[in-house]
Amino acid sequence: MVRDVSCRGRRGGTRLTGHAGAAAHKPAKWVLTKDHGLHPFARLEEAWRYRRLVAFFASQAFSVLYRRTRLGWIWVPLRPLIPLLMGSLIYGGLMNVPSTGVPYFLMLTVGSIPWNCFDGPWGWGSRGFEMNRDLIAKLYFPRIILPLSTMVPGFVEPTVNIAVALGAFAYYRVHDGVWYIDWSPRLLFAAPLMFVILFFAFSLSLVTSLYQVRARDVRFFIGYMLGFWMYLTPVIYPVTQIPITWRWLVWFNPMAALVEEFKAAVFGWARPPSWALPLSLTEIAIVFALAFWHFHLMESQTADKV
Amino acid sequence: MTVSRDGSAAPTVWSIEPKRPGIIATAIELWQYRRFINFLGVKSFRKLYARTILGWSWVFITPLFPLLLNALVFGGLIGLKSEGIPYFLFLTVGTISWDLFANALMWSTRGLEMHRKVLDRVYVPRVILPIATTTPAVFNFLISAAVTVVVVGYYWVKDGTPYLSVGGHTLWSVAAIAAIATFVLGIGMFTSVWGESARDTRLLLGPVIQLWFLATPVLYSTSQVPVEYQKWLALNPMASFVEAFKYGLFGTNPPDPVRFAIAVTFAVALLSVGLVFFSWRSEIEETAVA
Repeated sequence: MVRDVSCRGRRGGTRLTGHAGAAAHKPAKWVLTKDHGLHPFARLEEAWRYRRLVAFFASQAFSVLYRRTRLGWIWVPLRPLIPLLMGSLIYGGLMNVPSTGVPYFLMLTVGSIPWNCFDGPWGWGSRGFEMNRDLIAKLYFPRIILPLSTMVPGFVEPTVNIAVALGAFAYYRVHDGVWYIDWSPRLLFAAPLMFVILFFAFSLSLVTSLYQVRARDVRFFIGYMLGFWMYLTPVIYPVTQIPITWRWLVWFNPMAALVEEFKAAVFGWARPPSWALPLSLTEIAIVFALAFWHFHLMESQTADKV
Repeated sequence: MTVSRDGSAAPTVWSIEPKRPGIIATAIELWQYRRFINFLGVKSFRKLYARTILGWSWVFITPLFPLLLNALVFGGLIGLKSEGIPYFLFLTVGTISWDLFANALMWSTRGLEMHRKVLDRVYVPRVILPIATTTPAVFNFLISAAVTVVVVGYYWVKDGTPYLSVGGHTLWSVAAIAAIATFVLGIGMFTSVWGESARDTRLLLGPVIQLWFLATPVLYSTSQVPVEYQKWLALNPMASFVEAFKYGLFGTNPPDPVRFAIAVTFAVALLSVGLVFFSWRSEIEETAVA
């Protein structure tokens, strides 16, 4: 068993790390090593050693979720239903947004699955430092665990959405006699897409969680940003609604290709152009690299300032 | 308990009496404690944009951002009509009256919950809390009104006409604001009591307000509603208030006076029933604490 006792200066200076021997009868032997500096793999390895904390922080974040409500856990399935019902009423009912041969409610629900893998986890992940302010000030642990584990309550909404989508597919099977879902091996493609989106949300939370602890603006800003971003992503409308001359521009939004690939995999629609997905994956990889680097530089400085 | 001080030259006499029941006594007490509204207002203000980088700039961003988004989506993409007035201006005027309602309702619902600690320490008439916490909403309304003036100025320069017409009919706007205030406090009397014991109230109120927003002619004008549905608008007092507010400023599309009167009567009745409900529940709370 390895125990770490650390004290860090600003900007990743030398860290004193002590390794206590497992044998209880022998006096513990403390080895002081130099901090692994800016080596990202060493950081990830360290985070892996502390992996048990993920469950701890995740359950902490969960306990905030519907605390002090009468209905309590009933809110969990109830709350994600509200935007789905309202969205299909407004966009599908009042505005008659077309949905390429699929009932609008279905298109919205299926589109909401990848989108909610993004907006909920990003918002929650950003709260990582803020929610555990007291703990950060008192002890050291790899802080990358914070945005990662507070993301977990954000998984609830996409999960509920999947359940709603399955129910809706079954309903329309009985009602219209058609499976709108495309039962083909392509359907399996939907799962890795969701992971990529979660990874993107995590990359963004790496940066936003650092700043949200100091400035509440970040939270407001993310809220507004997501409002705009959703309209730029084909969630409430099919991408075919965008004039063909401008459609190529949409794919520069990394979420657009992912959401559209997801919908195409589920409904068996035509896929976006072959370069769209690699482009968005490249963008996400760049964002992650920059965010990780930035987090790495700023983490201890932020922890000192909370 | 009421503590009052009698006499000025003679040695001060403090008389401690039980609180008098009844709505009129409560109203008098409310007036005596009016300074508390100021205190709470300032307090909730300080908290409002504390620990932000942009600080007070948020005061302008908060109303402007949703406005721009709505104008873009509903005016630009969907192309809703606005009776010869530029859609953005039409939306701005409708939105400020609606936001007064929506924000004040959200704030007053949190009134008791947010200031529970104050109640534990000092005596204040409880009813003052849901009223005092609406201060940020009133302030937001004033800021939005200033933004509207800028928007009007822009169109005046651009199109050579201010589109606004101010005159005797502007009294409709004033009446609408008063009616909205009454209506909000009426609802707040109930929701603040529920909101104190269950956070569900607030969670539920968000979507309810959003739906209500769509059922109120803010994004669209009443004349665009199909005739067979127009009678249903009578069920929504906010529809009459927002219409009246817009009529007072634009001078087009006058509201139905009968419907407006019914809505005002309803708001006043709701506030009266709400006050009775509130004082009934506070008595229970106060005896439970004591």
